[in-house]
Amino acid sequence: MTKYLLGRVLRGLLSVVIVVGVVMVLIYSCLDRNLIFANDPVFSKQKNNALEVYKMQQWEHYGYVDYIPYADFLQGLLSSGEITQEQYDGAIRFGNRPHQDSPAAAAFIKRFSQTYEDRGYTVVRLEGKTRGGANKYLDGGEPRLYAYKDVPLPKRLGAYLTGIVRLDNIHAIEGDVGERGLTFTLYDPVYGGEKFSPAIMGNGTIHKYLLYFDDRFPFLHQNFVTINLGQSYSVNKGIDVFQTMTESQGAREMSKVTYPSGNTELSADDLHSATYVAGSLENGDAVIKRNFVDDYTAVTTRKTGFSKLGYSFVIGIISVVLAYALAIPLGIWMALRKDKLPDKLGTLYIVFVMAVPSLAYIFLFKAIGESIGLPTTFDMESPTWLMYVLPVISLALPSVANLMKWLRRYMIDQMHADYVKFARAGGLSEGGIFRSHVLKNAIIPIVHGIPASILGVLVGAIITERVYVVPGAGNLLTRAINFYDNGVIVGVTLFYAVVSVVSVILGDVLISVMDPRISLGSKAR
Amino acid sequence: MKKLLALLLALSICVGLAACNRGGTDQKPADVYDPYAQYENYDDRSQAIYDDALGAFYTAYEAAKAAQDVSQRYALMAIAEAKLLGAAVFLPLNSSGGNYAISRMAPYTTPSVLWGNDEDRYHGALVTTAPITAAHREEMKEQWYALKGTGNYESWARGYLKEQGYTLKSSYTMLYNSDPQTWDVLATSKASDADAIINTYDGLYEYDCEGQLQPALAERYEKTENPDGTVSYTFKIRSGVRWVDSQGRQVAQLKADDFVAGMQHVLDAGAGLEYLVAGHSAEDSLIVNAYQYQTGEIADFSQVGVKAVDDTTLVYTLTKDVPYFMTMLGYSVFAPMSRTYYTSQGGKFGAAYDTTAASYSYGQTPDNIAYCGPYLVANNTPENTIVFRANPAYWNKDKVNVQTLTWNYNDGKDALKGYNDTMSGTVDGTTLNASSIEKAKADGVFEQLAYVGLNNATTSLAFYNLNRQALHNFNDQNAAVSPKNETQRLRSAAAMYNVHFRRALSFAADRGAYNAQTKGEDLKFTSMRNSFTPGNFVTLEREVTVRIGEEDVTYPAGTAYGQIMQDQLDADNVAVTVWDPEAESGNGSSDGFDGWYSPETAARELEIAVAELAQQGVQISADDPVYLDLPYFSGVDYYTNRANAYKQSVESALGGAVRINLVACSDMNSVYYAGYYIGYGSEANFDIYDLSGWGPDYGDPQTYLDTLLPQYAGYMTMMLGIF
Repeated sequence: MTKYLLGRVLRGLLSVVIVVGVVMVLIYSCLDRNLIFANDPVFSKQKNNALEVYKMQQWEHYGYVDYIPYADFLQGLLSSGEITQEQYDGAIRFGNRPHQDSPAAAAFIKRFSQTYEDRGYTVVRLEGKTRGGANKYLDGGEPRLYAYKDVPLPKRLGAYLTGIVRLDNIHAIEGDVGERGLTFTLYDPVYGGEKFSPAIMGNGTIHKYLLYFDDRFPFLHQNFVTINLGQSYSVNKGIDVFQTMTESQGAREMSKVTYPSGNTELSADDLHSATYVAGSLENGDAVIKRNFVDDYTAVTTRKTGFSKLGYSFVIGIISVVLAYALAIPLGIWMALRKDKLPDKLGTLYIVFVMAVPSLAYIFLFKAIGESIGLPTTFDMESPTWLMYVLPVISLALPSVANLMKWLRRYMIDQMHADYVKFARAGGLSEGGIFRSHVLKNAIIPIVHGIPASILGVLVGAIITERVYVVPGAGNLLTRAINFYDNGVIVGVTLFYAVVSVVSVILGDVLISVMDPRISLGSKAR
Repeated sequence: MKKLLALLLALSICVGLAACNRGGTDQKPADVYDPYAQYENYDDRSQAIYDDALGAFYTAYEAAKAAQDVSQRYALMAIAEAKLLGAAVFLPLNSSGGNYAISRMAPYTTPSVLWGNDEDRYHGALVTTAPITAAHREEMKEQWYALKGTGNYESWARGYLKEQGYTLKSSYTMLYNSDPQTWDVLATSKASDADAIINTYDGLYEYDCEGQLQPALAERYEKTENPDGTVSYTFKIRSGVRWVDSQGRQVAQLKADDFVAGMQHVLDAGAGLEYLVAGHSAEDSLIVNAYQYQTGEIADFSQVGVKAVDDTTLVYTLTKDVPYFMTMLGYSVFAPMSRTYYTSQGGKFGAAYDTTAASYSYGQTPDNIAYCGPYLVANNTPENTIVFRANPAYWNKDKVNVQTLTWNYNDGKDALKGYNDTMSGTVDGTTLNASSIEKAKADGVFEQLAYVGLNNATTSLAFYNLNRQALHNFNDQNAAVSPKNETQRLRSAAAMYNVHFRRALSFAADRGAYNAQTKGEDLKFTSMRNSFTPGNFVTLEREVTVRIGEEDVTYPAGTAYGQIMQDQLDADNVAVTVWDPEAESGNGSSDGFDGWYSPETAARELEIAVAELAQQGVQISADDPVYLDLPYFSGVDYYTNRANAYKQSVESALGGAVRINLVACSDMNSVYYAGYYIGYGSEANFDIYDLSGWGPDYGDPQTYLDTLLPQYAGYMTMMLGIF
């Protein structure tokens, strides 16, 4: 069985990679890149060569191309000390057309072209555009020189996959940071150094705290391994989508914080999140100078709410439990009272949920909830437990219908099976047949879906979350697509793919546990 | 079934061909007169067409730009715009805004400036506990016009509201639909970002609620002309202003140098708006050497014309004297940035600037910026809420009327959410869409509470192609393909050269019916714009005498731009109303009515055009009509309906002598490629194009009129099919 599962997991991983690859092909090769300019007010204010450069800059910004202007190349040479300021000044200006270049510029342009063409870039020289023979440039018509490259898909995919997991280590950062190493303490200095709270701290690592305890689920946290699913280009510029999904939200939570300098003040800074920013202590602002003793100064703040995944999970898991708790007894009841009133009522409900579009009945639940005074929006300023009621109901009731429908169907199917007639003929009691045969057989297909429904809640519920303004994970993908946030689209796709692969595998494992006829190993056959 | 479908298809093709033939003409392409045939070169041809169509505008506009005095300049620009509108090379369509709304915020208590970002500063708003009725708003509006510029409106409004039985409160909750994508205001060009971030900082000068420019982080300024022809603006920076972080802890003192750091960051980031200060070429650079720094020609920022002489003296050096420089200060590109805070967030300047560095966190969340404005961001939960709380360290905190500003997310999926939340008091104001207007009417509050919100200054236009060359999109031969043949193309081009023909087209379009398809019957006029520059965009600061037609006319101080524009149009016998002096409670407006649509005038203009064209050998009649292409997006019903409404009104008003070909595009992008994405006029694949527009960059009509300059200088001239 282990061997079989390993095979499944490997195949699952392969399909995840394929899915990510397909999405990357779709985003970076098939889509028209000009789409990002459709609603860009700045686009219409660019012209001529400046427009071409603007497009390049934006495409680089959205991760489509790698774009290197000639000036960046020269500045690189200048800062590495390879050329002098004088040489720089002589080379930076070039003519409208190549034959008008000064010899110094021509030499560097040749070098620029060669360097980047060798690396697979396309070098573009836009000729200067002047007004009817005059020496005055058209708006945006000055000559431009740059190199750009579409990152080839295998390289893009490879870089993405290898970058997903990042391990922190004591040589992770450059520069002089004193003695590199890990220290273990039983008394975490964040809590004043007197409370018993073990922690592992690093110097030379990216994170200051690599392992620590705090009062948040799951209480023990680590920073040895960081997951990077893909950086956002436009929705949360510069932030990794995994961080977007997992960091807490809401109002800041103030508490008494003891800083490394020994200074204690009321603040929301989460010192456990401290990461290294070179030179930040020396060049830092007043707050940093007062509170920190090294360059581990970049901290996030503590917030009172859950993360996006957290909200989706809490709402989802309650509704899943509720759905199964309601649907299983109701489905059984319907099957047992087939064609009687409970069955008819249940069928009516099932037909209603199936026939009415989800948006419509969610609005219906919302209207009913509003009229009895339940909160209809998720208020992150003054949260109450009541605001979970409507989203949970909106999520649970449709899946109750679905589960009821299938359970009833399986039950009735089993009740008419030959073995039941045989058992009845053999004199077994109706109750006995029902409990130990019919129910057991009918529940098996239902069980297969349990892992999927539990893990599926991590994906979030798009419509429900939007209607009740839940800051959950459901809307991440649609929002990323709307804003052409390509890094996030890829990251979220990967996350969804992993969730579905894992839930199918777990479903199969669960079903093999429930049903002795099914075995995942090959030798049983 | 398949056979039936095939038969139907074949039949429809035959019918289609027959329909095309009906209007067919025996004329051969070579027979159609082309007045510009002698120009081989595209640029020369473009110039000739431009001179014929817009020569009068160009002359008038150059004269306006040469004016020494600002009021003179505005008056002459109004005359130039009248020439432009009279040439009928485009038809103004709409502004955005102009919706019905219900609100608890008193009118005109926040800046209503039409450019820059100041209009999103909410801290001065007067907010009441009950929605303010439309009648009271009307009265307040009248007083605003009366008190404008005196500095007394706010205190009057306070007293008035109290008198009418309203109770003021110190919080304001509003709806928003797009989260900021970054909190670094210098590295974004998106309005949805700047709208939020504007609350966290102050500028040098800001517009107040009466539309007057007031000193903010600067105490005063001085303008000096330098011997080398450059102009220096020296600002005295307010001392004692503090930078604090999101938790209110002081991180630094505001220095003049923070504005220098801000400008360098803008140019390093290159998010798009830097064209305001750097222009698009070295000679066009507004701030000395800003363009050169941006393109890398100069690596040393100290050569750029932004300098901190000492901690409280800031100097901007401009390459030329532009009368509108001070009006641009509301733009985020002039925002300060605390240098020490930026560097402690891993920020770097110049060649070392790299937002992808792991240690770079500036602007990523509200916890990664420094604040010098009226608010600190207390809660930022994307797609849920943004809470701004008054900054206790704010230098001008006495002026903060709204202590807590809350933004609640509304993606618009629930059409009634805005209205319901406003009535229940969860939010303090909302615009009304078609369904909530119905609900408000059913609830009986519409008449009492609903008012028409302000329009913004972006004008959308329907352009006419004066020189149609392309019959398909420049990037795709199979997209937006014109159904016209070569003869039809030449005939329509010949017609479009004729100003009376173009005017006939403009007068024939029923924009009300057109708007009704997207905005509903109730709102079809509210955002309708009749001029390019809004008529109340600027007013004369002093008395000016200009020549209108045959006589000299003296306009007193306070005359609106639109009034002069109207007078010139009247003098030129262009039967169009672009300025209604009675609108806006007698203060005048060029919005909210249809001053163009007139089937009779259209028919009259067409008659002239037909006669003139007949002389050139182009016969136009209902039997032999001119075909004009209008590309539209067929994927959404209201675009289709809108295009049909346009077609119907034009064809019926012009008696069938003009036929509109609706060129269906199944995706929006094909429509954009037909006009919006084009680089040159020759690529313009339309005769009429209704998806383009312009928003102002600063408070001077030049920002509009510059877009129609010839020789590749104007940003929208290519929409006329030339250059």
